[in-house]
Amino acid sequence: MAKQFYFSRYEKRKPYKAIPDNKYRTLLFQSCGILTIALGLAYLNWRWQYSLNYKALWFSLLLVIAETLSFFSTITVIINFWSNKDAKKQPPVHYLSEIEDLQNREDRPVKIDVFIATYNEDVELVRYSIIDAKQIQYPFPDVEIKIYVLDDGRRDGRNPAKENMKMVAEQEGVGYLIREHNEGYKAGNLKNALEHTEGDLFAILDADTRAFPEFLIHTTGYFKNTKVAWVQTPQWFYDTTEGEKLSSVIISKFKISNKYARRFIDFIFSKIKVNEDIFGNDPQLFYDVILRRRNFHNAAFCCGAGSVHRREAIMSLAVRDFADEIKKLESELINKHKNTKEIHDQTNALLLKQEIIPFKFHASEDIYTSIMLHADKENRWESIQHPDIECKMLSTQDLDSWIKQHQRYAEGSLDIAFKDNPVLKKGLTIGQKICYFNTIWSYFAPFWILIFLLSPLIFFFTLSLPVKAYSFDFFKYFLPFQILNTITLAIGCWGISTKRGDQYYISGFWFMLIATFSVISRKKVKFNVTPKDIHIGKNTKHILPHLIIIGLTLAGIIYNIILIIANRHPTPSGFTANTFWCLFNIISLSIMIRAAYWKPLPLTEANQQ
Amino acid sequence: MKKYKFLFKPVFFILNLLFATWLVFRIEKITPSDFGRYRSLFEDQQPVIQHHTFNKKFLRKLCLDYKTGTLDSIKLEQELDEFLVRQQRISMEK
Repeated sequence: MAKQFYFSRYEKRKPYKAIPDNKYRTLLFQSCGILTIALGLAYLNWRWQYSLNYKALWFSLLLVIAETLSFFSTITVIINFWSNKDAKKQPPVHYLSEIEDLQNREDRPVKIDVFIATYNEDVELVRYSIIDAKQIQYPFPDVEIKIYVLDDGRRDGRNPAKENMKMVAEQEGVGYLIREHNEGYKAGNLKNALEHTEGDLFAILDADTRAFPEFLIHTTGYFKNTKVAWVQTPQWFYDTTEGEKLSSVIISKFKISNKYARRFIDFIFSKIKVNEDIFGNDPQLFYDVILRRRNFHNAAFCCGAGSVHRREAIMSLAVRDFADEIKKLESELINKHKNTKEIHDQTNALLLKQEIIPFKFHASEDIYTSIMLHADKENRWESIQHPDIECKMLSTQDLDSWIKQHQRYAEGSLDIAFKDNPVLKKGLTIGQKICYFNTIWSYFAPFWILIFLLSPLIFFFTLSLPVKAYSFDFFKYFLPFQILNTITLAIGCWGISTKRGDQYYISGFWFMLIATFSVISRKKVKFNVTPKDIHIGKNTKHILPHLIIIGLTLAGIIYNIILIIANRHPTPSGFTANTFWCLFNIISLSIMIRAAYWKPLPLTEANQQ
Repeated sequence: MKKYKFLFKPVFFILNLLFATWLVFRIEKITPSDFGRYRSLFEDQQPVIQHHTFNKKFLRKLCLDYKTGTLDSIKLEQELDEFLVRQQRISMEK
């Protein structure tokens, strides 16, 4: 009998359906988007020119700068969401000539490899992925589909303390590839696989990625367009937490055992459901909107697991980089005035030493490699974000793992921004530059989010307003912009709830700040493997900033209420506005506090759901 | 209805914005913001509001005294002059 995991109870979940394209909605979004930008510009113009409170200029400037930076985000998001352009779905590939110009080479059925990358995951969990990969169907029997487990944990039986991954691979009858070091992390692991395999197309799956039977049938057809370098499918996390009855949560948290008390609580609170997707892992907004809309700009980037690649594209990039590197080293030798023989010898030595690296050795190898492929002026590679779900995966199940995962994303993206900024990269189109800028810019959001979180606090304790006054003028500019901005985003994300995403966007500010400072201080970006199981506890340290801000906010509200009662408050209307503002802040911040203390309900409680 | 659940958050946000705006205007009408007159609890100086109350009471007493005849016009003139000088000094100190 297969080993049971926490996710066994979610096995029957069905994936979400991609939101159907609607040209009228797109048109409405574009109109609202233009109006939002216009109103935003008018608002910021008024803010900078007429609203600054010179009696508290530092505060006023701080907030208006934060608003301006945030407005840049709004513009890039509108451009990112501008239009939808799903690629035409095509029947699966049969012969190599359908996807490549053979140039007099003999035609043959296409070869496809499926890589399952693993490092330290439970081998029985990987077995699930292997079993599902073996179920992948293909309509042409002569097309060879080979499955390989890429084990970077060297669990080949040599170390009895480790589980035996090789044995599992052999039991399942799939290939097993290892290397003796972990250089380049996952990118290095894939490089090793590409050196030992020969598929024309290859799919990347993570240890927990469970491909559906039609995975290749639905994706390989895109490669008939010879410019397509990779196809990314949505990563559907099928184990996001279920909504729990508030009554069950209360009974479980406070360990209420009295039968009548339990009944009473159940009567009052059983209709309210809480904690649904408590870690904000539902990826629909990202894959179905953000990444899918990038098809329009040919800027959808690869996210690793659940993607299919053209070997030719990735290898051509690697070879070009290799040649560039050799050229660079050669010119360095020439500059050092070496003689021809010496240059020749040393270049040969370098040729032997230098390696061909298909995926960039980087913590964010997938996005970095995507940028390089998009920037390839000679080949003009295209990427496709496939709208439908073709595989399922596991998500982080505790806050500690969530933070590690998101810090790695942030550090990786920021590292690219500082070292090889896509905005300055030659070969990318304007649309691609804006989309990549949008990704990187979003990681700078904690700077203005922090100001937005602290502004009500500054008001509560200094009684200074960042604007001259809450006059009609202020609302005349502020309200239309804010309301239209909300409507525009709702149209842009039609059908998808952004509630959790918005909450985590704000409450994740602290970890993103840490990531930014880590990259600025040039700490090496580590590739943390995301844990695939639940780790309860050790979370309080992560939410201290949140607790402090909420605590100070509540103290500020109480202090201001005292002032109002004592008839010593200069602006009760300012207090009202700031109280509403910080209520939203508290709602957003509280999600992380709830997530920190969340643990699955005991089975008895969960069964009652 | 479940199909449109995603609209709950934006609608709630917009309604909140509108309600907050209405409330702010309402409060502004009842108690207009007045920066500079009031001070926070942490400041040492006597709040200006108390000074104003004191002035109001003093002037009212002068009026009453004059009305009832306990104060003649010369004395009233003298008291008012002193009051104005005092006010001038306070505003200069500020």
